[in-house]
Amino acid sequence: MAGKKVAMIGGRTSTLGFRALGVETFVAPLPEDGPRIWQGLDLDRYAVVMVTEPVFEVLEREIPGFPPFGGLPVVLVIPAVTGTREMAVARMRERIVKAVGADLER
Amino acid sequence: MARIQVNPNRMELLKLRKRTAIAERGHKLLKDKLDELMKQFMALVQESRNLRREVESRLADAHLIFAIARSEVMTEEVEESLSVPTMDLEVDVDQASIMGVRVPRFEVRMEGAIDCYSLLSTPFSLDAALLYYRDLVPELIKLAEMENNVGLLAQEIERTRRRVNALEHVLIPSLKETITYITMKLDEMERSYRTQLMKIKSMQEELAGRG
Repeated sequence: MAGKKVAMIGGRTSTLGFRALGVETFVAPLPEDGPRIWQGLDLDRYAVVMVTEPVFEVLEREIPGFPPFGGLPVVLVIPAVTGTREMAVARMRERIVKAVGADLER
Repeated sequence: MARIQVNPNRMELLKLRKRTAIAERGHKLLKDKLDELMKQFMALVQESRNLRREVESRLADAHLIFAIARSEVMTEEVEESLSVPTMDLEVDVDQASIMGVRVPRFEVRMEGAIDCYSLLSTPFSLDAALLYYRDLVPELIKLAEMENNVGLLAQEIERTRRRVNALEHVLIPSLKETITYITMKLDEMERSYRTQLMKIKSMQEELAGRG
C-alpha cells in the first residue's frame, strides 16, 4: 500500500519541533480552533493524526463520533508542552472497563 | 425461558438435539476464543501502557530541550528555520491479524536529514531537540498502532462475550426446554396410545367372552 502521511494538530510550541521531521503540522492557536482544522483535513491522506490533549478535549466535545475508530487515520492523543493530563491513560482505562467489565488498574 | 414454537414430533426432537449439540460446541469454542483474546488483550494493554509512559516522559524531555533552544534565539527565527523541512516522513500501512481481528500495521519511513536550517544562526540545543523528536516519531507511531489495537481487541472481546452469553443464557436453555417439552409430549402420546390399546383389548375380550 502507498505510504501515508502523519499529521499533527496542536499549539504552536507543541507542533513546531515535529514540523522539521516531515510531520504535517496544523497549528491551533487556541484549542477551540481544533474542530475547524480537523474538518479541513483530508483524512484519507493520513495514517496517524497526532492531537495534543487540549485540542483533543475540544474535538471530543464538539465533533460527534470523534475520534474515528476502526479505520484510518488513527488518532493519537499526546501531551502538549504544558504537561500531561493523563487523558490517554484515562481513555485506556475506559476501554478496559468496557471490555473486561472491571477496572484492572493496579 | 421461552420455548421454541415447533410441532412436538420425533423429527423435530432429533433436529433440536442436533442443534443443541452444535450450539454447545460453538459455545465452548467461543469461550476458548474469549479466554485467549483476554490473554492477548492484557499483554497488549500492559505493553502499550509501558510504551505510553516512556513516550510521554521522553516527549517532555524533548519539549524541554526545545524550549531551551527557543529561549536562545528569537521565536520567529526558530519558526523560520523549521518552516521548510527537508525530511520526508511516510508511513506504510499494512494489515495484520491478532486472533482473527484485522488490525493495521504501520511501518515508518524517514528520509532526508533534519538540518533544514543554517547551523550558524541556530543554537546547538535545537539540533539536540530535533534529534530527540526524530527518535521519538517511530515510537509515537508504534504507540498509535498499539493503542488502536487495544481498542479493536476490546471491541472484539465485547462482541465475543455477547455471543457467548447469548448462547449460554438464551439459545441453549431454550433449546433444552423445547427438547424436554417434546419428550414429555411424546411420552404423553405414547401413554395415551397404550391406554387406548389396553381399553380396546379389554373390550375385545369382553365381546369374546359374551360370544
